[in-house]
Amino acid sequence: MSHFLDVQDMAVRYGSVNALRGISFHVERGEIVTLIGSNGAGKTSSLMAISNLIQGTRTGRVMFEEEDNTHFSPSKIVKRGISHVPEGRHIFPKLTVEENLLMGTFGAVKYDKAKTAGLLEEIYGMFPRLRERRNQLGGTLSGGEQQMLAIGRGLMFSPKVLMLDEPSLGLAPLVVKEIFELILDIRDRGTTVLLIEQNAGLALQIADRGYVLENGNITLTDTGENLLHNDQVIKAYLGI
Amino acid sequence: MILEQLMNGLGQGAIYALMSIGYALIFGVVGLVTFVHGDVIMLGAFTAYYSFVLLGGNLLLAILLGFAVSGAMGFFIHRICYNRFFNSPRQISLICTIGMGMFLRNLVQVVAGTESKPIPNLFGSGSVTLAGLRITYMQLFIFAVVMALVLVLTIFLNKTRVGMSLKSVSMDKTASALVGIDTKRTTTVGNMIGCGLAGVAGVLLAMYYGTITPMMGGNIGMKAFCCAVLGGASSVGGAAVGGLLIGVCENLGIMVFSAGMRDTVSFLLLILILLVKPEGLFTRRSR
Repeated sequence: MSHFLDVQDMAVRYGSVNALRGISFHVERGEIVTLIGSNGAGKTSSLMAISNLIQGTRTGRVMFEEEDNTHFSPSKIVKRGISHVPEGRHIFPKLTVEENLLMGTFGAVKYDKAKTAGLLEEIYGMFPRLRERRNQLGGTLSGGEQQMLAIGRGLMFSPKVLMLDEPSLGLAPLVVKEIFELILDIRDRGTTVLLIEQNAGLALQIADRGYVLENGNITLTDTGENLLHNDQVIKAYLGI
Repeated sequence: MILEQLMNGLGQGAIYALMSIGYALIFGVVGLVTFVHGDVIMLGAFTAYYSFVLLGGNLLLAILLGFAVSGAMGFFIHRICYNRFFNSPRQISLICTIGMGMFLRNLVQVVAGTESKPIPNLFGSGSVTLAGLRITYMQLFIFAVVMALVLVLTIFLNKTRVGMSLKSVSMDKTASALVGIDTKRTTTVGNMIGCGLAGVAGVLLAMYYGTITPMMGGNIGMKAFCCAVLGGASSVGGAAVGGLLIGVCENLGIMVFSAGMRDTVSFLLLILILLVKPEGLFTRRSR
């Protein structure tokens, strides 16, 4: 049986640097899957490779819903239903919160006004803080609010898969907890989640399955629960 | 006298505004300065000349043709200078625009000849007097065209999907690609509109100066660059104000110095601004 999202033998090079050395992983519908690993292990490159945004050379295949997505343009990949919330959030600083969210509907299907308004309501329901700040410029939000805005924008076209790159980066522990609860909520609403995290402990707690990336290779894979109690993982990533 | 010079300055500044708005649009989507802009403006000016000579003195037609010819050139410039070099070192595109400028200049010299061409004055010397201030028909026409274009552009950038895509690509290419915007196509459109506006600016300049040469682009391009940098390089509104400001300063400056010092005034202004506020007059650093 084929997988929902299936990355096969993906290798990425930037000049003479090997970022990924031929990794394969997959995500099933409705799962939360996490890739954990330290800095420079190749986590961000894996997501960039799926979105076809690698500025280097890339070999391997990306299958999504039994269709070969490897050579689709980044915008086409979005249209297929894969949403990518990049590291560093990349919100539009000079647009308001609401305009930022509306930009999220651009690439995908063209919604009518009612549908867009409904989606906005849904996002505001999940992130009440964004509703309060709807007319504020994106660049003036706090880090946590920007992360929420980036996730909200990524959800605006009802994607099938949401890929999150380090959503906890640079945020206070309380805000991180809030965001991870939201990720569970997003999955429960029917969106599959592929989560990249340096904060392995948190990621494994909410993930159904996890992969451990080291120097561009996948060294371990198991359920989130088992990885959380794996000696190797505890020693290397949980620091207990 | 001062008021009249101010009026002249605003008239010329309106043209500068138009060409620097085009510059800012291109700089926004490409993220790189271009050195072919002046020659695209020159192309617009020659389009006006041929339109007047071959098709009669129809102003609207000349403007439409100026927009179309320069806009089409924008498409080729994008194809030749930017499209295949997106992942190459940035200076390659930049040098490519310099080469493209030389090519255009020489092409027009081959086709039209090297001597300067006269542009008929379609307005005569007519003028209206408002509260003691004399405004020529030519100036009125320039104001009308520039204001109409700015209005259309503002609506386009803020209310249409393509316009919003342009805005977002100039803010953040990665984010735009990740919300599903076709960044390559958007960049092409940005280049075409930017060059098209430059073409219209060329038509207006031709009428304003009354004479054009294939070499006019060098200086004019640098001025468009000045105005755009003054306003913060990728800010369309800023570029417009920068254009007006330089136009006014030039015309007030030549009252103090002499007509030959016109360019000195604008470039001096650029150097001063870059020393004092290098990010442009109207941009605040955002985090």
